[in-house]
Formats: sequence, structure tokens, C-alpha cells
Amino acid sequence: MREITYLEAINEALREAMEREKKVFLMGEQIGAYGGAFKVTSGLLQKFGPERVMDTPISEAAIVGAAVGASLLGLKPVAEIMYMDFMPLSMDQLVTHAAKLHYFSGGQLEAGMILRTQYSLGRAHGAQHSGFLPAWFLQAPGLKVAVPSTPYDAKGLLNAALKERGPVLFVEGAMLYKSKGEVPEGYYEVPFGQAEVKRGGKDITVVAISRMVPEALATAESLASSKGIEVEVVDPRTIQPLDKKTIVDSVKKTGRLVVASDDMKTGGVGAEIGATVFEEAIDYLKAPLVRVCSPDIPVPFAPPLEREYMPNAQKLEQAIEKLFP
Amino acid sequence: MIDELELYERMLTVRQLEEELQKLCVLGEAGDLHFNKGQEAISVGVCAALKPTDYIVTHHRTIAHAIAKGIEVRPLVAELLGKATGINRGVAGEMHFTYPPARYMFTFQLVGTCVPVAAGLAWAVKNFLNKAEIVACFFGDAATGNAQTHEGINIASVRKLPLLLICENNGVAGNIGKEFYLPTETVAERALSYGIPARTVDGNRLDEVVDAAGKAAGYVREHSEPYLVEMMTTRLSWHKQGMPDARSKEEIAELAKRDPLLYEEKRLKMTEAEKKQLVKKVSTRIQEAIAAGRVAPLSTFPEPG
Ligand SMILES: Cc1ncc(C[n+]2csc(CCOP(=O)(O)OP(=O)(O)O)c2C)c(N)n1
Repeated sequence: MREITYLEAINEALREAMEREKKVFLMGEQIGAYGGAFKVTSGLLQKFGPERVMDTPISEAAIVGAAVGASLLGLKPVAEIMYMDFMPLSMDQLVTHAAKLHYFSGGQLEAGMILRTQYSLGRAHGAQHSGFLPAWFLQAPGLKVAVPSTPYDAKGLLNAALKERGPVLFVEGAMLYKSKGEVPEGYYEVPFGQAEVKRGGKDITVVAISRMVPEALATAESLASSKGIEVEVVDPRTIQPLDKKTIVDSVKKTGRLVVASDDMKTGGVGAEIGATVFEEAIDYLKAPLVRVCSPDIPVPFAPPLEREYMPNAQKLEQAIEKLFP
Repeated sequence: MIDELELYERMLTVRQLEEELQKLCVLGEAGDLHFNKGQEAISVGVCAALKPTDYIVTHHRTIAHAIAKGIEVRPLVAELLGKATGINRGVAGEMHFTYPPARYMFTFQLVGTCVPVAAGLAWAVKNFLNKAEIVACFFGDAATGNAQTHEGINIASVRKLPLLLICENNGVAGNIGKEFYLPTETVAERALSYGIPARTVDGNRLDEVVDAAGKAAGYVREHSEPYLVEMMTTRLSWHKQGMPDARSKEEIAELAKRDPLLYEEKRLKMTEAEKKQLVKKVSTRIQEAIAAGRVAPLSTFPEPG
């Protein structure tokens, strides 16, 4: 099969969706002629025109608010928020309004919109342009959250997100944009709430999120050859809904759980995943839960400090080795 | 009395420092960098018109504001390199400078977010510290599309706070033109809706900047109410490192005719020899700062535990 990058996969999914359905339109800051700060929407203005590719002012609250409004009359807005750290500026519209509309209206209204954003940890962008903040959005019933780690998943999840009736937060990893993988031409979906075992193993389960998926696969490779430890790498792909069954089944098999994610440890996605396993499989655990995440401090700016700050394959490997004395 | 040659030297320092820091970015020694090239007269001129005890808060093109407020080159460079000797112990970088000793209060990376905080500082200065100081807030023309800018100016006007609003209008937001974000001809005309005085001046002419900022600061101090000065300017660089410009070379060359350094060199009737000497002086200072920064210890802030 042909290989394309994660970025190209998202661009292709958007283009195909816009070709398929007139109701899909894009909005965001410099997403038109410039193609977006990361070039994800490159070429789409030229192809679909300014009615369907809207360059907005720097108005995160209004971008999401307007997306909500447009969705109520049947459009399918795909809005881009340049950095995940800017989400708080649109949080009110997304969490307090969009997510709850279905419930409030007794099922009459639905804010069927997609909010694409990305996180840049690893690009030396400092503490207001690097944050991976997915756990904030787990307390917003009505909102779904996708965190694709491969080009295949990115396109398939975006296709599935377009079919969702309510709002979806689609979080891209900027460090993954250039990564390549097999992606089918044409339409397919990766369903929400379905994790994928990216590598099978019997000794330990690593639930890895976004950028930490390829890191975990590298760790698994290294531990298999150096220590004979067989790591199973599970990628939830969406964290809301979370595929508890695949995670719990894996832990029942391996008896050990590590969560690897770029978000901060305290109150992060790893806490939720750990708690789920305690609820459903505590008797199977042979070792304590380990979370390999970012420390509970803001991201430092300078590249050498940032490298020290971030989780990576090596840190994950060391954490796993400790569980196999 | 303002020493005009010293102000020119500050602008030159900003220009050269950014060029050197860009190299460090490319080498992977320093992180992200927003450039001020072409806009130097604004921060340098405004800060010269303020009293040293006046406060500033600012937005993302920070190197100029820091130099303008009198922060030394050495700890700035160390900051970008992540060193313990940096002005923020090496963890902030260019993105998040803060230096309270010089009353450089904070750098706000999220567009528009500096304005409400500036209003709060002004409230504290006026009603709590009971001081005659004022607060100057720098923001871009596209920041006027963000809610926090409006909310901040609105509060400052309603409560009559000593806030000098400096809009650096370079006619672009990242890589889009003003037709995408500004519904009026000027930013200054929006001041009418807040009930505050405003004017528009050429922000590439240091003498005009100093004059306009001085008068506006005087007004703010005397009447204790906000004043907006819109400074028309030119961004002559990329928006930031790693983000190539959407504008053509010709377009930028045209704008470069308004280069504030050229204007000032002409106005001060500087000879080539004088200029060369200054360039050398500034570049020596910068190279020494880089050498010192490179050998300084990496930041350990915050201490673990
Ligand atoms: C809230 C927010 N949204 C988006 C960005 C990304 N961004 C950084 S600078 C910039 C353009 C800002 O334009 P303007 O305020 O006019 O200042 P200029 O960059 O022209 O100096 C954008 C969109 C940001 N930093 N903060």
C-alpha cells in the first residue's frame, strides 16, 4: 500500500470530506492561502474557495462559537485551533455549550462539529505552545476526544468524526506530522472507542497515547531483543470514549500496566486509565501502576531542558526494567 | 534628556541580537523566536518616553521590549539558552520574559491576553499603591480581534485606569493580511467605542514615536484614563523562526524602504564610519554574551522535590 505522512493523511481526509459533502467547511487562523501554521490545510482554499475555507481573525472563542452556530443549521464545521494551549480561550463554547446542547435540548439539537488542534511538545515552543491537555476534556459529557498516533488512524478517525452527531475534539501530535505510514486511498473509518493493539506481548501492557505510541513501540523492540521482555502496546486512539475492554483484557493477560503519555502526571489521562484497571482488573495486577508522563511543571523553553522534561522511549524502558528486577 | 544616539544603539542591538539568536535557533541551542525587525522604533521610543518606574506588559515580539526597558544583553541571551544565569533562570526563553526589577512585568504569548492584566496592574497602581506611575501595554493590530483585548480596554475605560495602549500595527497577523481580521481602516478609530482618546502615528520614525508616546503618557498620568496610540509599522522579517513569509521578497523590499534604522541614521546624519563603529561595539557585546551564555550552567529551576 502507498505510504503518506500523518499530515498528508489529515489533509487528504479533509479534502475528500469536502468533495463528498457540501456541508463540510473549514475555519481557523491563517488556514487559507497560507495553509495553516503547520500546513495541514494546504491547497484547500484553492480547491474549495473562501466560502468553505474561512480565514478567521485571532478569535478563538468566536471560532468555536460560530462553529457551534453553523452546526445547528446542518453544516459540519471543522475548526482549527492553532495550538492546544489556546483551547482555554474557546473552552466555554466547547465545553459549556457545544458539549451540552444535545442534553439541554432534550435531544433536539446537536453541535456536530470537529475542533482540530495540535500539541507541539518537542519543538521548543515554550510553556504556552507545547501543552498536551487531553484530560481537561474528559469532564465534558457530550464531547468526544480523538488522539491519533499514525497516518492510518488520523484519516480513519477524522472520517469517523465527521459522522459523529455531536462535537469532537481531534488532537494531532505536531511531532508526528512528518511520520509516514500506510494509508488506503478513498474512504474508510476507524471507529471511536476502539483501541488497537499496536504490538502484541505477554509480559506487560503499555497504554500509549499519541506521540508516545511510536516511542513505546521502540521501547518494545528494544526490550524484546535486550531482555526478552514482551511488551504489549495498546493505543486507545480515542480517550473519550475509552475502549476499556481492550485495555483491561490486555492487563488481565500481562498483569502489569504502564501508561505512557505526554500530558502531565497528576490528574492526567493515565490516572483515568489506571483507575479503570483498578476497578476492573485489580486482582490481576502483579506490579504497581507506573505512569511515564511529563512532570507537573510547565514546559521549559530551551531545547536541552525540554528534552530532559519530555517522556521518551528510553525513560519508558527504564521504568519497565524496574518492574522486572 | 533623551540621548538619541543611545536610542539608536538600542534599536541596533535588537536588530543584531535577533540575527544572532536566529542562528542559535537553527543550531538547536535556543527555542522558538519571534522577530521584531522593522518595528524596533516603537518599543525603544515608547520605553524612552516612559519613566523607568512605569510598568510595561507586552506580547510576542519580545526581544525589542526587553532591550528597550533596559535589560542587559547577557542575561537575555542566557535565558534563551536555558541557562541558570538567564533573567528567568533559563526556563522562560524569549516567549515568556519577565523582569520585575525593570518593571517589565510579563510577556503574553496568547494574543490579546496582555490587555486585561495591564488593566489590573493599572488598577493596583492607582487604587492600591497610590502612585503616579502608569502602565503601558503593547499589542498587535490583530489582537483587536480577540475578546480579551476588548474586555481589558473596556474595563480600563469604565474605571478610568492609567493605561497607555500601544498598538503595533504592522498590517499582518502571522501570515495573513488585515482584510481578514480588521474591519476598520485604523485601530485608532475603534477607540471611539470605548470613549478614550487615540491617535495614529508613524511607528517607524523614532522621533515621532517618542513625541507621541510622551504626550500620551503625560495625558494618562494627568487624567488617569487610558489613551491609545496606534503605531504604523512594518514587519521586515518572518513572523517567527521556521515559518517562512507568505509575502513576496519584492513586497518586503518595498516595506524595507521605511526601515526605522535607516530613517534614524539619516535623521541623525550618521556617517558610515560612525555607524560601523557602533555596529562593531554592539556585535562585540552580543558575541561576549553568547560566549558567556554557552558556558553557563543549565537551569535547574524548579529544584526537584
Ligand atoms: C490567542 C492566540 N491565538 C493565536 C496565536 C498564534 N499567533 C501568534 S502571533 C499571531 C499573529 C498576531 O498578530 P498581531 O497581534 O497583529 O501581532 P504581530 O504578530 O503582527 O506582531 C498569531 C495568530 C496566539 N499566539 N495566541
